Amino acid sequence: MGVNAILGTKIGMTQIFTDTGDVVPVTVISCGPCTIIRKSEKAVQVGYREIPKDAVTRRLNKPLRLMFEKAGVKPFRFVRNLPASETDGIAPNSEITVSMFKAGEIVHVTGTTKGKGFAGAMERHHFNGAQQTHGQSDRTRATGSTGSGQEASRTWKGKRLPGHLGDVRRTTKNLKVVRVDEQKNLLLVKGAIPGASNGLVIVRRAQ
Amino acid sequence: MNPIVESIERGYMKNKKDIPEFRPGDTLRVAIKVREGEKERLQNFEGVVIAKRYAGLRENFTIRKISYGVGVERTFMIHSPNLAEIAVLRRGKVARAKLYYLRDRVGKKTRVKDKFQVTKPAQ
Repeated sequence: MGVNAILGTKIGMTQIFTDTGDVVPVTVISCGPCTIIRKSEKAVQVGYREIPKDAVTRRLNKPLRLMFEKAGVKPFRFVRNLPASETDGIAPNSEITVSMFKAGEIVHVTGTTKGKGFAGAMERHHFNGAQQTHGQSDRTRATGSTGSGQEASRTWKGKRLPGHLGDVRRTTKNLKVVRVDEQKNLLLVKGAIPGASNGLVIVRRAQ
Repeated sequence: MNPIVESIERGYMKNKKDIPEFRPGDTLRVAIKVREGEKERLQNFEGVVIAKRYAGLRENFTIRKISYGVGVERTFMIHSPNLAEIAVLRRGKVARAKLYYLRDRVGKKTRVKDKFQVTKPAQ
């Protein structure tokens, strides 16, 4: 059935009660509406979050602006390709909304994780660190040895070391849709999703 | 808090008027819905409120009682649909917000003084 994903914004987490009194941790996602810009056989290109009219000339260069004009749609801040199982009945400039999802459905949510900057081996790879006693003074969070001596004479490729952590695209799979609010364009998904609040996420139907 | 998240939480909250006012030190009897297979019944739990946490939808309180010589504590979510009823039995006079010191006390010392309504003498 049509498009299988939608763009949204992570709002934040909370918890809600079910009718039986169980507490469910949920992430609130503000989803869509997304406007279809163009389509191919297995995908559609959609725009999300309209750019206000007075900011168009400032935020978009001429080629991008003309791209939107040619497609006959409003200019958008985010343009992404989304998978679709069938694009025959989909008209350009039509909208997709959260109503494509039902409560109880299983979805995958893709986002960009929070950037942690240059992180040490303990935070980045969950190393145990070194002991704080027995004469140790300044190496409690150090990486430790990076390999053997004469025999190897080098450090193996893929050796886990400190470095940049976070700010990468990640997908949390198999999250349950708890509630769909079509009026407010909200989606409540059980569990956590990647990224900070106000980050762009893609909610995809699990196949 | 984000206004959208707040509005969602508000939708799950009980009406303020339906929740009686109580504080740590008060003795309560709460009725909890218990599901046994198909049947649903109410189970009472009676004891002293030793802590109350104000946190919007997550507002909760802890009740302590001595059951067959064993101290039992249960924490209840105020806005949970399973919490059917709260009845305030006694008002207690305490000097703390959290009465964790009751855990270290046995017997008579676990009593919490009643709070008496101070009525002005008629002139």
